[in-house]
Amino acid sequence: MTPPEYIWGYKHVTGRYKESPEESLNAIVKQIRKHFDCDENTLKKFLK
Amino acid sequence: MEVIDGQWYMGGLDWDDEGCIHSSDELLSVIDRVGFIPLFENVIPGFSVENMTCLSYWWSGDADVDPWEWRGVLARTGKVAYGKFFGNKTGFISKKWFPYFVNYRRSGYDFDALYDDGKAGYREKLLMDLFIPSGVDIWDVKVSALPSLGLSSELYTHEMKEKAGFGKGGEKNFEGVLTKLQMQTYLTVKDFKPRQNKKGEEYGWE
Repeated sequence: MTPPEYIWGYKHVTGRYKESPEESLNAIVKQIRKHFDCDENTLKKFLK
Repeated sequence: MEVIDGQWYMGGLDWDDEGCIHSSDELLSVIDRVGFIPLFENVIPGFSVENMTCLSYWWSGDADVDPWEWRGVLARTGKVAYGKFFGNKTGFISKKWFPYFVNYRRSGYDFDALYDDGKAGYREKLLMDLFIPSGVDIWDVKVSALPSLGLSSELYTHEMKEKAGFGKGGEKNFEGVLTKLQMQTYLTVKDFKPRQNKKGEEYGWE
């Protein structure tokens, strides 16, 4: 085990801190839906 | 993976299926393209390594074709993160998409701030203190200086359990606390090695 900061550096790992958690979640959901057929609510529950 | 009448059943593809992933390199390409993939079947149809690989080679022990072995192969590359990121279950996240998970799951909190705000328990802190020097912000940590402080940048889970005082007569729920820290993206898997018993015989993995 290791903190991801020790693999990729603090700047990269925390690079989305500037946006809201909801914005990051929406980006993840949108990306998954590009490749897999699934409704948004199911995905959000799965990603909790 | 599905449990029917107490038996585990896995999905998957035929080796010759057009969509079948045959190697860790192919899986790495898919992770890079999609961004993240759970290891086993879940509520999203097709969204798992299990669904994209041939059942016949799982747990064969041959790292060329065994998806179970690819976990370590890919974790060691440093090109993807592997850990319990999906509903307390394992999967991969690409380097590009990991920061999105970090921000979503951490809500912008580094671990020390999370603990200071009373949003993390002392058992989580016991584990994180194995990696982050007391009183030092993680962005300020010099990894090369950790050994001189008696700390490590990476530890196997049995080392973490022992050093943090979990186990018999000590703190409880090591696995639960470790899973929570992975789900929150504060820790990720760096490597695997087979466990050994007192006779030096290998059993299981950590």
